[in-house]
Amino acid sequence: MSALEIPLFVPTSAGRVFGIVSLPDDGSPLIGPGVVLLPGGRAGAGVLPLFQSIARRLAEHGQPAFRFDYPGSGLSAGETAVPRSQLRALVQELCDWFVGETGVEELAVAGRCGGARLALAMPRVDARVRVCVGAVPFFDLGGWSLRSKLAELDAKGPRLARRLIQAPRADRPQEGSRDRKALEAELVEDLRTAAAAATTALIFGEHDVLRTRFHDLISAHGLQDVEQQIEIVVLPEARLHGLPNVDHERSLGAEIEARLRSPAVQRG
Amino acid sequence: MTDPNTSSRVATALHRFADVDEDDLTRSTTVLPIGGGTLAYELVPRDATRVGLILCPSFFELKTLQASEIRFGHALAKSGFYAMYLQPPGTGESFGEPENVRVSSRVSAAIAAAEHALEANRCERIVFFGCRLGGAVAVAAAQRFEGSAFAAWDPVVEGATYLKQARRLDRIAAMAGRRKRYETLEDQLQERGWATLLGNVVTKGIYDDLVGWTLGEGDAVSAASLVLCLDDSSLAEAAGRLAPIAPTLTQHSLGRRHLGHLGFTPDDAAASTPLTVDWLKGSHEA
Repeated sequence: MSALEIPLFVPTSAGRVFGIVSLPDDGSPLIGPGVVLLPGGRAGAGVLPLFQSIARRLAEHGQPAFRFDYPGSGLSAGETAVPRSQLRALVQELCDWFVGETGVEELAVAGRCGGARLALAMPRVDARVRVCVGAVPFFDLGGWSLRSKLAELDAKGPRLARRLIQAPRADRPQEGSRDRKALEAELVEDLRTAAAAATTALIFGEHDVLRTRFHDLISAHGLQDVEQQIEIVVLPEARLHGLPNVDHERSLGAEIEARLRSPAVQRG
Repeated sequence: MTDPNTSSRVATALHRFADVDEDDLTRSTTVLPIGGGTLAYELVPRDATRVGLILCPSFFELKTLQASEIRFGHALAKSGFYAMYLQPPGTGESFGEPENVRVSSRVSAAIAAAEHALEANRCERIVFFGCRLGGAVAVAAAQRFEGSAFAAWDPVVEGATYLKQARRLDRIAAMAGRRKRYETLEDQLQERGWATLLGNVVTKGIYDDLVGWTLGEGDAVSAASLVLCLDDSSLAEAAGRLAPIAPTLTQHSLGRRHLGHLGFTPDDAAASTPLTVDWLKGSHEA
């Protein structure tokens, strides 16, 4: 069996979203849970090859998989990104569509970087999510922003950073900076729900500062019981911003895929 | 957990989402039988002219130029030109291994995409478009596709020159990102057999292919073609190579200060778009 890929446009409240549904190509019955893959940052899904191979391999074993470009990126509609506060609702809308079209009853979600943070939030907003995988998750607790980084770089070489990043900034909606306490409280609730309602795994790089941040959060909030329910995987070379690196991407992909694979396939 | 839905039934139903009609044009996406399967994004105007463009994507600037290339496709379609943006095998969402991507495979994919556009009656004549090394792909495809033309933005016609410029940009990005250790491409290839450049995988095969690739001077492109560069000196250099290939070559400079190591920016693309659309209307629509 190999994978059949169907590129398409999903109508959403944020306009058309370009996505690809991967299916087995032999007409066989679909096996749940259906897989939803959430890319990091606002890049189009096609920029990083990690999720393509995961989706194709899972489809080869009968599980449907869905990946997409966020609005304002790749082939999706829009010139500007959807505000972060609206992303959860948008992903739920896309999950509804995917479930409606494929008929799967349960979902497994996986994300990388900012997508991993989003994946962790999904069990709270969608009771169908049974598996949740966060690869090199980016826990934004304030105190860091691309804008402040740019300002810092601009001070070193006028306009250099702006030209390097080459993203139109003026038309991008800037959300009000949320305070650290609110972001932290939200993350704690998301972690509690993900740990209780889904089989949850987090994959960190060995020297990842966010791994330290995660452990600090666990200690500060007395979440040791939650930590015990979450599988923590540590890879020596996993990176937050995934500059594709053949070996690292493959090992990261294998770890994500193993956790998304249906128990029915693993048994079979 | 097993669901009674079969993949064939679901696949058939999903095809209704392949096309969207919006703003007097149809956006269509499909996997073309090129290589193991090549993703194509088509923009079909309601009242299309006879000319269609095949957009050949940039190489290592995928993250920075993809949005501009797609925006250019939308501008073309809104002006009545059919446009197809494709992701050659091994790139983007297409099938194929990134390690196996070659300049020649990109040229072949562009030609196969043009054949598909003509067979599907999307248009009657083809203009290949590309920026940077994608511009060289557009020229090479036009050389092999009879009756076609090219439109190239800031083209780089030597693989080695392109590689040098991309490495310079990567080095600057490393400095700006305070990367503690910067290994040269050759050192990375020597140590591991692969390297990363601007977020892309470069294998020894890709490296050798680029270093050895240069635009051939063989077949002439008889249809009216365009070269557009950021400044006069890069225009003179590019036109020196392209004029013998395309005798009917329109040359245009944006008159900007060219920082070759920083590539072609979205601002540059925004300035180039109306000039290119006007050139198409004047040279090909009539």
